[in-house]
Amino acid sequence: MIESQRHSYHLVDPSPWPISGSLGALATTVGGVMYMHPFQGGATLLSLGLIFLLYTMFVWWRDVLRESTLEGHHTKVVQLGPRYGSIPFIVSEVMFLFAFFRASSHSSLAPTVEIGGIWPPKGIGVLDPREIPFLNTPILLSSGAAVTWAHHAILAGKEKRAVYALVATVSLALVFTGFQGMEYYQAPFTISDSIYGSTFFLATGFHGFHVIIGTLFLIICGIRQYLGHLTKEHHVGFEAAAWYWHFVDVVRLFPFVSIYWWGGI
Amino acid sequence: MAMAVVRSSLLRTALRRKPPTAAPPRRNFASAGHHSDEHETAKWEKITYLGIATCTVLSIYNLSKGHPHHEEPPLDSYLTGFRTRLLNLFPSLATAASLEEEYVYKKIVETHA
Repeated sequence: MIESQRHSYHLVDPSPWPISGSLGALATTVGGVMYMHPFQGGATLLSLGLIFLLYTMFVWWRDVLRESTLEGHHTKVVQLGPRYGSIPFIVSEVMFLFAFFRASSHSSLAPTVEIGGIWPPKGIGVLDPREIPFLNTPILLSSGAAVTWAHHAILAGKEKRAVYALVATVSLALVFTGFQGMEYYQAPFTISDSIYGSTFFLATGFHGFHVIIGTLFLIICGIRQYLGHLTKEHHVGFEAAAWYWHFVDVVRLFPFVSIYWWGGI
Repeated sequence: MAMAVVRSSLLRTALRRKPPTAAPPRRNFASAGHHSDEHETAKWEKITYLGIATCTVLSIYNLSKGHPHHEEPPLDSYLTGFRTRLLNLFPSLATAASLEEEYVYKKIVETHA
């Protein structure tokens, strides 16, 4: 913290990134609408908007890392902000995914006449829950154990072990995504095959999307741990990634039980 | 007056004082209250290796026993598939759909002319 400062709070410098992020989002939405309707230049505007948005995310987070890790602006009281912010964010994500699981259980508990009054719907061949779906569940739970190993290693000051643990976490996450891709490729139904296909791909797809986001989050944490950014006293970014990862791996139990197992027998 | 000066100077001194520099208490896991971080690191490392070994065995078992081959899924996209099924169910819609398509196409041509 700067010596002349008389308080523990971080008064941020003026930054161009909020307005550049807003312009990127505007270009992305307008470009997206143009692309989905027959307007010329829609794809170009959409691509430029996305590139601009990704660039803003990169430079904004780069600035935050500089302020926190190199300039020491993230005091204990400042760290409370992202810590408290992560909790409602993860709760909202849980609610988002539960809406899709509920959609599936709602349709399966009272199957309509249009799908033959049975679940899985008439004519739908489902995946065997004892194969890839079951295998993917311990894979994700093991990666949850690996991230806890990384957390304890950081707290114990064992930098190398923490890097190994994060490599194990990310590797298991990539194996999970690979198996999920294989499962989608082999699925005997598509997203357009009745309410079963729609709810199955929407719920498991959004869960898989969250796994990919969490994997990217953990890769960044692994790189930062390798570079020596994370210390036993200050590793809020890692803690947020670990919480997110536990949310992703615990939530996996719900589609496994309600969609693959209960919905597939 | 003298009292006010003293009080004001005391207040200024208090405000200018450096923030407390003592290290805040460490955050620990609720489940690890009685163990050191070294012990917990070793424990979770073992759990991870056990998990990886279990998943490897399960993967080998799953991949080696083969998998059922289902009928090829339809190649059409969601909307095309939906439309085809709808038109098969209600053939009278086919005429309406083609007329609507023609109208939309004309509108697009007019807009871009």
